[in-house]
Amino acid sequence: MATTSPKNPGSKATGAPRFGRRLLILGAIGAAMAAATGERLANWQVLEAGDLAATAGVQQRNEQIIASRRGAILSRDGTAMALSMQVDRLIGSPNVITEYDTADVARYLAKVLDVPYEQIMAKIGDPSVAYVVVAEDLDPDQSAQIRQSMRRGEIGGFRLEPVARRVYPGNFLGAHLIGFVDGAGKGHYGVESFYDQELTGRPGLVISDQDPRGRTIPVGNYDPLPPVNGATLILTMDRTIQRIAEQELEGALARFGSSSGSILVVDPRSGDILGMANRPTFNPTRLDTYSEIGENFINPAVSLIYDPGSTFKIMTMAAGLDAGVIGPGSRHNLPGVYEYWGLEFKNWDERTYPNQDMVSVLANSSNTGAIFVADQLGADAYYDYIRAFGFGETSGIDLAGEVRGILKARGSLSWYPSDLAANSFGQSISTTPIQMAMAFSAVANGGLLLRPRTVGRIATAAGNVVNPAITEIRRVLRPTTSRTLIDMMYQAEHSIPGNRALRLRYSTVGKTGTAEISAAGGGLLPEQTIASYIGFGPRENPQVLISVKIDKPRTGTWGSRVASPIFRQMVDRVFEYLRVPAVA
Amino acid sequence: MFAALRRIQSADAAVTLAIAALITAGLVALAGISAPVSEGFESQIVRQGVFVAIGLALFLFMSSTNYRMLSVFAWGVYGFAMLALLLVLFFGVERFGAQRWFLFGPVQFQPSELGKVALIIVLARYYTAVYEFRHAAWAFVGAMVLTAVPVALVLLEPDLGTSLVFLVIWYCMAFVAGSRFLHLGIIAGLALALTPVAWFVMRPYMRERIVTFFDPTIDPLGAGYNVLQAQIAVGSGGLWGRGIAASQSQLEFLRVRDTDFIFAVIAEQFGFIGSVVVIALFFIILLYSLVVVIRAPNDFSRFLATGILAMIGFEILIAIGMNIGLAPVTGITLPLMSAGGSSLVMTLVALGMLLSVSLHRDVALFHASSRGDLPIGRRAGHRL
Repeated sequence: MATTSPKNPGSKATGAPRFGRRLLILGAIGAAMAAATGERLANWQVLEAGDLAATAGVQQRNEQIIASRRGAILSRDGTAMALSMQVDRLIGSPNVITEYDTADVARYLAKVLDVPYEQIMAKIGDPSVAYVVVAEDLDPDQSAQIRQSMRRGEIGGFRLEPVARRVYPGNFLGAHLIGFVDGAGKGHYGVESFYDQELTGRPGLVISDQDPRGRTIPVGNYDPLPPVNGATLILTMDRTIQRIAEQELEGALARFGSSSGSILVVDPRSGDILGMANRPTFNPTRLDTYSEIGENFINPAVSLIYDPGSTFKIMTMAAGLDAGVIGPGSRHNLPGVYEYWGLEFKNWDERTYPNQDMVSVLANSSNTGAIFVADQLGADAYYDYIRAFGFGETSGIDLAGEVRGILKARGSLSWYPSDLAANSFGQSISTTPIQMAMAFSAVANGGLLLRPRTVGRIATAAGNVVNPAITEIRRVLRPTTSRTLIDMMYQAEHSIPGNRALRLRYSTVGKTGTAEISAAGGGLLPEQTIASYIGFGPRENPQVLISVKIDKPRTGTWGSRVASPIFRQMVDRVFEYLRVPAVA
Repeated sequence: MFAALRRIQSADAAVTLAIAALITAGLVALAGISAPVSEGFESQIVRQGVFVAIGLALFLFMSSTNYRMLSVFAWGVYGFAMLALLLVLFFGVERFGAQRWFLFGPVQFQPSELGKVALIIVLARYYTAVYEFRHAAWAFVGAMVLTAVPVALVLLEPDLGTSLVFLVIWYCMAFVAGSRFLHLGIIAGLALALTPVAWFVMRPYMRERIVTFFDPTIDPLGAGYNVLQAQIAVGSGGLWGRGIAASQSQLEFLRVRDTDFIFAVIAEQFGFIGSVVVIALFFIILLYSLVVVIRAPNDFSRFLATGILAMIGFEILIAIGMNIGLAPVTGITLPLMSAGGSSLVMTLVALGMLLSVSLHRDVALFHASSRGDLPIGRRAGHRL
């Protein structure tokens, strides 16, 4: 410790100024840095504070959505048509299976899941994989068995993940009406889409603080929002009627060599859809078998248009009767060929029926007779009635994807005076089967156009039951008109020899239709028709309306040969099922 | 010892209050982010409190002891510190890939903190001794060698940040001690010239820190993470701060928030106003140090105070600067505020020495130079 070194005693005199200068330099550097610090702090904490605080909020907030349970869809008779259930799927993390013998584990799982050992091994054999779905849709027994093994520590590196599955116990039954749910839980088509919000309910939300690893912090002071499960929908559709309709449609298509068609069963007093069968169709439980969302999913009853043909004469006749321009006894020669505003219109058999009454117009399905009625009415009044029947607008049915059809408006550039003639017997006008069914329902129920509905009751998860009221859109016909027309239809149908639509047990009325098909490029498709029959009964107090539509039948082109017998079959089975009193 | 109390002037009182305020603010900031007091010695806040007590005791002891004693023990302290730095390389505990700490039961001790103060003392004595030859190259190199020993040992731990502190202490003391601008210039030029070389010598993590200093968004989840999170913390503090329970800090988005990023924590908790107050308190300490340097009664005390000023000033600058993107992340703790016993205690020891210089301006170690064998007493005569 003996350093000795004499120090300059004059340091105060000579050193101080130099120290002063040097210290000044140090101080200046320090001051500059302090200024930079202050500037940066002011920048971040005052100018950019809002943005940075927002960034902090975003990264610190954890929002966890708790899925609500999707509501079930029941048929009118209470059978489940669509159900949501939780099934487990088995997730493996082969990278953590290391402490177990992978082959042993695979053998065990193969036994429990009843799949080949090799298949399991292929999934969990690679020890670098962190996540693999080993099996989907475990049944409850399998889940329980695996859960127990995991608890006992017999297998490790697996977990069961609950997955919401939408199950359609009826498979094809009523597929178009019901629709389906995609993997994300969103409804598509039909009721699943139209009532998606009601079925979904409201997902719950838990907001909490989280740390950088996403772990939530219990001190986070946010209120959880509990999920509200979806409502249960009770359809107006009756499962038995639906099954009958689908069976009859299947049979008819096979019999007449057709690939598509629709049968609707409607309660004309309420607008309730009791059955809605369509072909082609799809199986909502096996969506994976459809390569893409294609035509199969489109509901032809509400989303595809066609020229209705002769069934539309009922609308023309109703308009004429209601306006008083004709009566049941009005007489007219029904020319075989008739020129109207430069176009020739023909009866189907091109025969002239002289001095016929209006019942005969229906019985013979005379095109020229329909033109006569429309012409008597005049275009303005005629289209007022057609619009009143709901054509040119959607029926308002509670199904997704409904289209309006095409009604050329008088006065629009595309309308020609000759269109009045074509429209009078259902050509040059495009409608949907549901529009036609509702227009006929108006005739059946005393003149009211109702809004069709597929859901008759909504039961919320909280236990509230909503019964949607029957919706009257408007009065189209006076009740007496309805009565008169039904009588005329009855007479007409019964005057047709060998009418295949009629059954002695039940008194029904209706009308055939044989529509020509508009080609995509204009004109008509030769030799191809849409055969249809729309009818209802019993005559005195119509309770059931059935519409049959068979597209492009290969054997037999006429509605009377193709659609009428199907209608009769339907009447037989449906009326019996509904215990509609038979004719004494 | 109590005689010193009578010599306290307003500046001394002010700096003591500033120190106390900073320590308190540091404890409050730690309280917001660490385990509750109820966890006893496991709780960071309790540990820090114990170190505050030890540090304050040493602060009082150092300030009431005549700083001239330090000259006597300079070489001994230096030797002891260098030995500790050497031994820690063999017997220290390893954490975060670096061997910097001795473990004594529940208490850790970081010898490099002692080393900094030891270097200041020994260089003060050295420059006093060689003052006549301050322009000589050998005198300059001699101090360089004294500095190189701890720098080398600390680099071996490794601890780049702390070794930089040693270099800054030496450079500033050499500057004030009157080394030639030529020599100082050569060193500065050499440092600049070696920068590209250093890039290749640096470990990858060091390079990342440099790169992310210039643009933290290059690797927002990796090397740039802390820098970005610090910015978010500082910014979300806003003008008035978000209080003790500031979430960015509390939720551990900021890593090493109790040491390296304590300033960001404070900035979030107390906002712009709080940050400015903290900086102002540090400024008071630095200003006081400067005054002590200027008014130092002799060369030893001037150099001593210069070293302390350089050490604390540089640490404050870097520790705050790296929290606000003005300096690369180096792992230097913020004096008086960061958690960590060694740093806090040794900073208080250094500040106690500074106060001692102020308080013992006119008090010689011995009233008469009868003890001629005491080197400084004999040389400085009545002014010591």
